[in-house]
Amino acid sequence: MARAQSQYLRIFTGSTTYQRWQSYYVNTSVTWAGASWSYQPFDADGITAGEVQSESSISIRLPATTNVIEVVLQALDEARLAELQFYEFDAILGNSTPQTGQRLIASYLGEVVGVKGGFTEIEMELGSSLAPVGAQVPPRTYSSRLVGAPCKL
Amino acid sequence: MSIISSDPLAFLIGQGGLVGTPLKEGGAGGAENLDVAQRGAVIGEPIPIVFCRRVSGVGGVLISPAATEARFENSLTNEVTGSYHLVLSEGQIDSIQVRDVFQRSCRVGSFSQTYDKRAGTFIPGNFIVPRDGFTTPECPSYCGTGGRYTGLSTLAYQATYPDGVDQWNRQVHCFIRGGIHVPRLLDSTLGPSNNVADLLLYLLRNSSRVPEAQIDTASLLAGATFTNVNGFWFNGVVSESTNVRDWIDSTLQYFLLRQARVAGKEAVSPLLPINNDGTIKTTAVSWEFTFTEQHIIPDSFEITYTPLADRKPFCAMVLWRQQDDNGIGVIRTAEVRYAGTAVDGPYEQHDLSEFCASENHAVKVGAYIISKRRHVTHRLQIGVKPDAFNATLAPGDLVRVRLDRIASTGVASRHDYLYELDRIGKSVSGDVELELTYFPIDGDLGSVVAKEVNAATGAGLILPTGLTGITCDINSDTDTDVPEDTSLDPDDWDLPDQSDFESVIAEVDPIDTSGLGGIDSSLPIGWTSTGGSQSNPSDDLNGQIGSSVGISGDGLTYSGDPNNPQPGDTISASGGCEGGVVVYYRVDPSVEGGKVLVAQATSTYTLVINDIDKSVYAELFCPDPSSPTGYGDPIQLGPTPIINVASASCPYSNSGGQGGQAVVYVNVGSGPGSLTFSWNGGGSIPDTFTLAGAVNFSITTAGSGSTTLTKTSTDSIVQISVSAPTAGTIWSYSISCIA
Repeated sequence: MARAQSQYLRIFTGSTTYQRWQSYYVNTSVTWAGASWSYQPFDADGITAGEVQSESSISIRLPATTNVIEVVLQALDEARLAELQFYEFDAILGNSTPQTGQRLIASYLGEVVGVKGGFTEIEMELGSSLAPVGAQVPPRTYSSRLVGAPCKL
Repeated sequence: MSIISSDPLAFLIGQGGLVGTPLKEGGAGGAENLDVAQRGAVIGEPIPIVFCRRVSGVGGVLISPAATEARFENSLTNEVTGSYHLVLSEGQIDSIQVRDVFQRSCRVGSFSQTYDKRAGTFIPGNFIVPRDGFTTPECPSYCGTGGRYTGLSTLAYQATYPDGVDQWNRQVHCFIRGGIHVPRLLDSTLGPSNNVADLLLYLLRNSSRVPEAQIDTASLLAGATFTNVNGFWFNGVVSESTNVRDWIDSTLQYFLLRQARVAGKEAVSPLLPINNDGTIKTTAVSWEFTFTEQHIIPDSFEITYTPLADRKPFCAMVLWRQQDDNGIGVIRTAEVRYAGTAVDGPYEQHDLSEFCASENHAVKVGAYIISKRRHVTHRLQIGVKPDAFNATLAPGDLVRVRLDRIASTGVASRHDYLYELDRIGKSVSGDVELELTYFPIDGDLGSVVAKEVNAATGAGLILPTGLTGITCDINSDTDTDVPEDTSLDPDDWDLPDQSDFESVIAEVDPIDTSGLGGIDSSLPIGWTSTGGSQSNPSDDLNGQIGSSVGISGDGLTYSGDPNNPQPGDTISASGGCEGGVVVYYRVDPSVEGGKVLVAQATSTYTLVINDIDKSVYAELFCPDPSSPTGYGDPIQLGPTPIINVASASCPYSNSGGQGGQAVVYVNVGSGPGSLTFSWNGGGSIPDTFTLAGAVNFSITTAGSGSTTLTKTSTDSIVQISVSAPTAGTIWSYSISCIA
């Protein structure tokens, strides 16, 4: 078996998908899972699953083209979700289109929580919208609107 | 900020399902003192979430709500009636029965409960008046103003005390049998719950607004089943402000759950192997995959043994709350230890009293803590080659690692253990990194920890509450009636308008976030379109540099209209530095970055025909001895608006007499090429025809003729001037487009 691994990245909110990219089939769009995935030479960290402490976020590096910057910044501004999937397949059986029997070996769904980069490369960080800072329980506090000026006993 | 560890194994102490030793010990968090002063709410204080559900005689929680409003009045005989408006909980809770409301430890007074508005009808205030022959009670004067109580459960309480009995200021307590209504995972019903998975789901949705797509509801449902079947129920109040992650980390472990993130989704998983029905699995376990030498990447095997000091016998003292139907709980301790060990300590205290109302729950948690600590002897980290397990393994799965160890002495041994998968890392290159915790099993292949936890049960002793003396109850302890909701509509109260609490900020539209696309794209970056409404954001630093050398505005002065400069107008630097040099550039807005030097070493520049459809700006170089060139960075002056003139289309012809139309601009087309110019001087008095701009030509003649002219630039505009100074002259000319 000539083991090969392809990556698919989808940016979406709810039922609306804004972008579908794949990084394996160069300069071509492929059809997979009933949708068309355009080529984008992105590179992602490995995917880690486990207890929360061990998995904070992953980064995806993309070329800093106008289109990519626009997509990524909109995703950041509107807290869109990104789903990264790794598929494994036997490249000897075909290397031009996604194989029907390719196996999903890892996936990660995260909110676009950070963007940084240089002039030629932009890095999109996917993480949990469960912010390590700021998300407090209980969620509400006594406010003037709720209770006016409370009594002093 | 990121905290980076040099060794991932350093995190393993927090993994592997171990419940760490509490950093400090203190009094039970679930304990309530009854005879204390009534507590007032403070602005900014978290609104408590009462989360409980009393089922089959287990659960419920006694709360001591804070007052937001109060009213005090005395009768002719100086009886004091104290009324309090209390906030019970965030959200809607079940109705409270008469038997469940106390002041101090006494069932006294009357009340009315409601949701989403103010309870009761009393007007807050101090209405105490002196009565002859009696001592005037000293009641608080700041009694609150009232609010809307949106989304809150509230209760108006009132009790009257005889003259001289100052118990009107005592704390009101309520025993809550059904807390905040939430969607229950197990029966898909909205109502009170005692399942910690329901509470976690509520907090994920309401505290941090985690999108539904990032919540693994299937694992939450499995967790809800596990805790419910095994009697791990949450009956408590969430009132201490804490980060939701910290709350999860510190709470879920006491329900033998761990929070995980699976494929990026928030999830939970039991810390013990379970059967399909959620019960603890004590029979033989099965493993998902067996790793042998053929899978493991060389030099990736790393084992860490737990120090004996961490495995010494100890007694887990677990605090829990005995909650009988009386409502007032008793804090209990459950001492969990292995037989004959740690009889006199050491003790490790774990406080579950804030939410645990079941002895079995407390004992099983204690058993888990000491069992896990005793039996988990080591942890393992290995790197493996990708294989069939790539698509199947998930955190929490069991795997077997079987390796032959051949020492130099030739004596072979085998490393063959079961492990629980804590963490799995899949790299782009295909290598998989696994972090594993030893999973002890007995001869039946059953989990040792699971068996010990499953077998651990409480003694079942019910401690008396210690209630003695003459009862102070006025209301019956069997009165299950629910008083009528007497609340008024919020609009019936004289409350400030909602908008009075808001400060709405008018948002200023920033520049288009798609780079500088909001600026006229026909201009180079950094340039301003005078005809448009958008301009670059102001740059204070730039302004300071200019102003420091006496430059104001755009730094240029115009001899003509500064908003519509024309060829022939003069522009000059309006300020400058002593010894400075000014250089003028022409910029074609249609060519990104294109600029042409048009004048230098002069402070003025006269616009020419070739500037039409372009802009001009200047750069001022001030002397700077520290610079190798002797001059500092340039200060930009301008640019001018686009130079626009009215031009005629080609082919074009014109005629006149003395004076006539002296100057005309003709657009002959852009790019290289040649054109034909024909003239007629009228036959007697010579006139002068001058062409400039895209072509250069001049002739003074009274006759007629034509010539072919080749453009000297790619510009499109030709300026045609006719000088006919003498009376009686006539002239005409025509010009073609470029060929």
